[in-house]
Amino acid sequence: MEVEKKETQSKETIRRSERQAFIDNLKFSLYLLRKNPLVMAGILMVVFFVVTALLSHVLVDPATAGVYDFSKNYGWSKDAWFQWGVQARIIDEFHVFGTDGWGRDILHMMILALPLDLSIAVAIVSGAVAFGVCLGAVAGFVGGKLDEAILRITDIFFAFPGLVLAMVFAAVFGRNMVSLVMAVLAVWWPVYVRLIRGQVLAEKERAYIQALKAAGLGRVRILFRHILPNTIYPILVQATLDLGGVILTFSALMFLGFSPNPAMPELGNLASDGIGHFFEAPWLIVFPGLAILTIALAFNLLGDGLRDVLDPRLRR
Amino acid sequence: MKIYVYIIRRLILMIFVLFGVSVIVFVLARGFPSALDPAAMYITEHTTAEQYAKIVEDHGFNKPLYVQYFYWLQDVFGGDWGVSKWAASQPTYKVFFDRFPYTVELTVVAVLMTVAIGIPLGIISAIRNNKIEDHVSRLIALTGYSTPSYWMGYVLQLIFFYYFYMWGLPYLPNKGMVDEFLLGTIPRVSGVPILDGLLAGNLTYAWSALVHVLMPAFTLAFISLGTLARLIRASMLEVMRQDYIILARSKGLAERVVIYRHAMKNALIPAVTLTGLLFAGLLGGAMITEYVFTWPGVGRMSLQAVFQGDSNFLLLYSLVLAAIIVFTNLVVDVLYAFLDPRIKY
Amino acid sequence: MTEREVLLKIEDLKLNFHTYRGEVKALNGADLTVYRGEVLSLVGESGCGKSTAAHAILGLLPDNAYILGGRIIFKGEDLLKKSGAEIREIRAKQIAMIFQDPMTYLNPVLTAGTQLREVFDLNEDFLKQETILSLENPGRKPDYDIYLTTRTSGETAQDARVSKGDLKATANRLSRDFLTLTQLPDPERIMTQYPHELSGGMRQRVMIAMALARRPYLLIADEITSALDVTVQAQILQFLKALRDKTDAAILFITHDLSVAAELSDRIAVMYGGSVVEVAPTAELFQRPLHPYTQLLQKSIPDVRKVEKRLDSIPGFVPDMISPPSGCRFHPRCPYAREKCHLEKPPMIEVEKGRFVACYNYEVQAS
Repeated sequence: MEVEKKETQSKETIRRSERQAFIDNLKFSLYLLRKNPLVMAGILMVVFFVVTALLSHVLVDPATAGVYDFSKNYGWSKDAWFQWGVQARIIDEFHVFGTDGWGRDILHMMILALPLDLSIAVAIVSGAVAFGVCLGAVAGFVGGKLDEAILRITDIFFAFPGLVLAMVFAAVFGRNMVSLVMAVLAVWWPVYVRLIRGQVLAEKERAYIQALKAAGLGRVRILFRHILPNTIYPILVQATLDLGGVILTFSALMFLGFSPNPAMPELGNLASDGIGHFFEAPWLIVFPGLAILTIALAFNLLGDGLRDVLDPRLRR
Repeated sequence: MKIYVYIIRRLILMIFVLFGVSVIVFVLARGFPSALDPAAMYITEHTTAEQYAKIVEDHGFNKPLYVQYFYWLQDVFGGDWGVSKWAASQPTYKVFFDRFPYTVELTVVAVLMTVAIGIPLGIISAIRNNKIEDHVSRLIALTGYSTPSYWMGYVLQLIFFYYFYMWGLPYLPNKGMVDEFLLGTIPRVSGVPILDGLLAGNLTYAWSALVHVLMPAFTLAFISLGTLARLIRASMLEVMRQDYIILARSKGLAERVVIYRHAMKNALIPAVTLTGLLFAGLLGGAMITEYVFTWPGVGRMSLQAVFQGDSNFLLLYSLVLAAIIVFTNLVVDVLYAFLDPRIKY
Repeated sequence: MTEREVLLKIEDLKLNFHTYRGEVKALNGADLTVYRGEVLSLVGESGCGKSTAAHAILGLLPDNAYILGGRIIFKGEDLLKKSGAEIREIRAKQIAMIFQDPMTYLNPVLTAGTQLREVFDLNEDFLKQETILSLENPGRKPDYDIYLTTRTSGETAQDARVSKGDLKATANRLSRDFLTLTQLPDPERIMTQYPHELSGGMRQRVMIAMALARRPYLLIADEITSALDVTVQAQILQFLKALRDKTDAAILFITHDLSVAAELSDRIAVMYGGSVVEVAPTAELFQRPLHPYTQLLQKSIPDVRKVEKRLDSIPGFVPDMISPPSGCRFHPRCPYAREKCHLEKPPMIEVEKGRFVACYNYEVQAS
């Protein structure tokens, strides 16, 4: 009885010190984050975009914004009016970023596009992470032939040049959102397999894992409760960076013409309107492109900063 | 001795990977005839139903997929990669390799620019760690990395082609790889315009080629230099914290010597490998830039191939570039072993 | 007996490290004197500040270190007030440091030869002089005795012109000579090898050669045997003993091992919690330790000859340098602690000729 009581007591102390260590770690991370102005800028930008996305339907009424007003022509025809940041002479509306071919205000469309782009990015990255991490963790932990097989498959996907896989996938499976998401996912998941496999392999050999094994802990439990939480940081960093990258890729696909609906409010899609008429109406590409740039930049700043903060070698 | 074993293992792996790639592309490109018609390359608007059926029969498009794959393998090993319609029904390999040197030129110039800008940027960032120069460099690097290539391409064209022209300034061309009236004026030796121009002694041609490649290469470079600069920065920071740097300083060496002789040699090793990978990646990934600048390289062709259902071209394209990527990975890994005296295979 | 010349004098050096968790008060008024030509050991446990003090002498402290006060006087001048260029001069020719872990302190991508020759780049006059001598007298044997003596400031290079090729050849020759000096076999080969191709002992000797090649006034050996295994350690110590007799450079030998210090040094300085607590000639320190810490330290060294039941240790914990004990930092563990010890740090006083203690239990004896 005495021994059992001591055991539970010591388990309690261990858990408490674990929690304390976790909190200390967190505090240190926040301290490092605060020291870096670029990261703070990234955080602010991300927050700005997320809030704007959440409020998009409040800011812009989709009903009026999406109306195809065909009495308004392409802004660049010589008979019609230019709507470039100044009051149009005839129509008394003010379009900050100009209008597109259907007469819709670009700024409004960009705001509407924000939640779409962000949620697609999150969906793709979560899918890639989930899939990649599972495969990679199993590969690293189990080892042997399964590891080899998974590695080879990953190698094949890594060898694909550029967007080819995504494009072919999209071309084959049709221009609907699901297949487009899958197309981009197919290109992004291998990174996570390699990442987590490396981490798991390294972690597996660490002394404390040997100690846990010696204590009789089951393998699954070791994998999930001990190895994975310690290897999560690079995944977090990569996922944040990838949020930016995925938006770039996805909008590029749309730009090239894979979008399901030419009128859909999506940043790349908006940009594609301007392809034929770029020099006369540059705002069609410049502003949505700029939006994509800033969103990707925000995530990259955040991810880069996280990488610096979480890199155990740079933490002193 | 072990290094030869390693290389051979990697080469065998490469063959396996290439098979894998070919299978995936084949399945996607030929396996869904409702979406991508494998016969698309062989028909025109005038093809009748009977001719169509005959074409399908001749090429075996109605056979099960694995049989088709087998036929394709046979063809390929006999050197027949099929035909691409939109290039006037030329054999696919000719279509590809005619244009491949253009992409190579673009990539080489882009990589040179990346290295020329990215490495100093990274070093400055590391030496002035956490000071203003560091933040500015990082911002530039990350901005490059976040830029959509079509946006950069178009903005560059807007300024240096359109506005410069409007303002009467000398402007950069935004289409093609040489001025149109110069096309075909020199013999084609390597296929790379600048090189051919120099070899033929035709400086006008070479100059025109150089001027044409500047904007598209810069677009690619701007996007890539971020990764390189960040790597150099991280590498240098890591190196500068090492004990041997303290020893070097304790010998009384000037800081410049410490940085250039002791730190850089160590820090640049990973950069070499990254540059190799960058090269391979840009070769295959420049399709959007080529599209925006109407650059007649294989990237642009691959876009057309997708839209036209040209599975032949897609297969050749994917395989050649996958081979380059895998091979570059191998070269880079072996090179790393040579550069770092600590690594022994 | 003539007064020995003071080579280096650290006066009341106070130093903090600025870290996330707080200010680490690493040096708390350290005092140390090194005389020309002597071997002084600086002993103390890990974290007592001995390495920090050594790095401070050469200005090799990390960015987060702040010197709050005190002076480091070398040959009459305060090093802390010198410019970067002046410090580099001193590092190149006058004070040389040998570090602890030869694996991490040697550059892995440069050969041992390259790293050794670098030293001569900064010692042009020595190089030039040697070149002239060997040109005048080809085939002369290397004069190891001269090599081991500190350069005297009178050695200015003559105006004779020497070619770069000759200088290079001399640098190579001198490198070989200094490697031979450190008892390394086959110096030619070693010069072409990379650090990872050499054993731990060999690497350490290369580092020693790099230090000796500068013919310094002061050699600082910072725990140079701690990273080596015991047999290699013994060899290096043998070498150092032979070296100390032949060279006129002063050696500041930093270690945590009292017995090693005993073998090697003329005097021993004991450090605790950021300051020096006792200095005495070696034999006297062991026969009659004055400071309570030294006494307890000595008692805790196990003696093979005696049969003991428990190992004696010093009660208490190593002081937390972020919130260290007030006054004398040893007072929580000191069996003789008094009221005064809590309040103010005891100054270092010369209790007898050549014996210094920082403890309120002693007063200066009338001489």
